[in-house]
Amino acid sequence: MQKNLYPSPPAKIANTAFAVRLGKIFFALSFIALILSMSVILSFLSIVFIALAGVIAILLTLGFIFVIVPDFGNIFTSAVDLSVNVTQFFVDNWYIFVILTVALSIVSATLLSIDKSDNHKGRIITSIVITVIAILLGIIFATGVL
Amino acid sequence: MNSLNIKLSRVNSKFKPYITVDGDIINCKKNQFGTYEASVQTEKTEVEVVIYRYLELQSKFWFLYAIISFFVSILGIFEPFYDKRCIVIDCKYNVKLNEQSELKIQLNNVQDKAKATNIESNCDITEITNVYQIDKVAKKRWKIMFCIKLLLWIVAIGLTIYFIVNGI
Repeated sequence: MQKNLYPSPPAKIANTAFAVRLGKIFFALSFIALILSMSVILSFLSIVFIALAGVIAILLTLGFIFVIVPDFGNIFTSAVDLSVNVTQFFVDNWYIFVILTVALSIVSATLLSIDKSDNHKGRIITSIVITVIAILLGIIFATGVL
Repeated sequence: MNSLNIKLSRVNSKFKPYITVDGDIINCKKNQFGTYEASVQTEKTEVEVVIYRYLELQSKFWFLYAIISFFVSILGIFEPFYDKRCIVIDCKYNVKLNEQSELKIQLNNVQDKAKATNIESNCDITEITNVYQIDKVAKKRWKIMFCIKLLLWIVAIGLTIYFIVNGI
């Protein structure tokens, strides 16, 4: 292997760069986890949306949808069933996603704050906001409001 | 006691350099205008100022860090890219210090084999090297990681198809 002509970074700089890299990864993952946390609410809305779409299709076609698509009733009910199952999954496991969101955003903010030589204020503040939103969601779900 | 004030301007956020004075990394602070400033006190009358740019792929544990971040970011989906060009600064000056020495360093646009910095000073400076260069070892490591990631993706897609087909 070719001898490296350029010096390796000192351990402190290399470790800080790795910590920042992980911080950025966890920051992105915390967004996904927050969306999954909010999926309890979103999946409720999807049931409403599917039901509404089905009713509108029936009304607009004056019932002829059952002739045009012979299996429309089965398709409609299985779509609603699927949506209900997905909602049930999120309702049963909301705490996993909330805990994951809080953990990822706190770790992200901590890792990014290690780097004193660069400014990660935007990501750190956003991580704190995500943490607060996730905690609020957790309180809402825990108290059974939703 | 001689004082050396260094100002580093036109620093790209993705191309952060480090400055050493006689081998010691000095801490630069960013001011309101986006310029990095540092001040060094020394008894010496002549110092060597070197500007480095460290790449993540130059570190001793580059492979371990790359693999960990690849898997943590779910097969690299949420991972920041490594610098593909692997351009580093090869910039060394000998500076003869006055009581109050000023060194204003301006980084030029990053291009392989181009002049790295323009320098203004109130003291005698001897330029030893001043060029952007590709770190070939880092570049090779980048290619190795790219191939490994591609292979892992192919394996992941293959396993997914296998499990879907076999209904697991």
